Amino acid sequence: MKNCQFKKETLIGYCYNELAPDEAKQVKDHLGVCKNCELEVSRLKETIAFFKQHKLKEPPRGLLDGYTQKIKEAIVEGEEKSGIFSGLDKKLAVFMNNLRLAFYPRLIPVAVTICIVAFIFLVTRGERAEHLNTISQEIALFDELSGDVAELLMLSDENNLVEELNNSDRIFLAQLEENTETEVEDMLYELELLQELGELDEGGDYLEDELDLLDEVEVG
Amino acid sequence: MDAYKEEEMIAQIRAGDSGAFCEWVEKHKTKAVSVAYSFCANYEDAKDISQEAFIKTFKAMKHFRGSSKLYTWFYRILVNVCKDYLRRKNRNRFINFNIRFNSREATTGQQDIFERIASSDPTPGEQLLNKELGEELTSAIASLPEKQRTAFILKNIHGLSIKEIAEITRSAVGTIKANLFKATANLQSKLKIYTQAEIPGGVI
Repeated sequence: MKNCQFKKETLIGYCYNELAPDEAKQVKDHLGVCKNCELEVSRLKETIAFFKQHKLKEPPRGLLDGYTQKIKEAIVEGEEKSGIFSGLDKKLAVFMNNLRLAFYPRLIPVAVTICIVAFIFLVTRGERAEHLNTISQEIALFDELSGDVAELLMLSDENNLVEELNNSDRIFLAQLEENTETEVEDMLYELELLQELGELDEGGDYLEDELDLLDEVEVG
Repeated sequence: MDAYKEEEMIAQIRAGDSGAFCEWVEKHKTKAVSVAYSFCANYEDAKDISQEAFIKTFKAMKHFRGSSKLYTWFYRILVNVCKDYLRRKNRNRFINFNIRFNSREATTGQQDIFERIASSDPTPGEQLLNKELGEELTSAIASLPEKQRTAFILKNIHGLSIKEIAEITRSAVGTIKANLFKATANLQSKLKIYTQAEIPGGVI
């Protein structure tokens, strides 16, 4: 038996019919080829069978008289001293307990979800504040740039563009250079068309001024 | 009792309904006394022990979560109360338990806990032999180490499954199987003169 694949725990499980069907079949097949295990199982079963021929002695007559009553008295006495629901009506206590049993398993996932949401909120709170701050700064910058653009347009309307430009305007124009390149090309094309048509007027002068300004910025 | 009624009754007991608990006690008291008797070998003590276990169970119901069956939970308390009883009663439970079972009192049959399931009409000779067998079996089981004895008694006297015994004793299933194997092998060696011979007058 020492060299057998089956442990003694498996053999006792087989004797008490407490193995899974597959495992029981494996043991049964093994017993057909292993004399040691077969003898061991045979002895175990003999002892178990011998024991089954016996029973506990019958209790003396009247032993259980008043058995439950004594327990009840002890319980009631204990309840009077410190009962769990001693101050409540029994039906209400049963109802409350049923309610607790009904909801207790469902409360766990709800509590877990609330904890997770609270955790995420607290963690992302700082990030959200930082993000909002960035947006505010961007809006302020946009307002500032818009103001610059409006001022620039007003200056250009007065045809005093070159003279009135200060350093910040130049920097701003330099920043806008890339974005306005396409627009300027369109303007050039329009200017060429107007020149060809001989219809260059004050509007054409304005465009030429703007192109000159752009060249100056590039040189600067 | 179907599962729903059992569940309802347990809910009532958990809420502190002593009436529902007493109903449950009525259902299980015979078996509880029997289990206690198989440990303490005295019916009066078995009655007190099992009643104490029932009261402890009721008081501890607020801790019962329903992960196991209520009676399995109760058996755990009962077995622990039995062990406490033996510890209280005997300073050295192994020696005194054996002395108790091997004493003159035991040989007279007054403290033997087993009796043979005899045929309907045994002869006087068969009756004497059956009595002797009951005494031998009682003595053999009493001589087992505590864990082996507990596993063997719960399995063979009370018909619990190995898994239930593992839950009651808070042991691994493999440990219970090992204890059962050792207990059965020990009993086999002690009782082989009876087990290997055909005994007349008994129910096989």
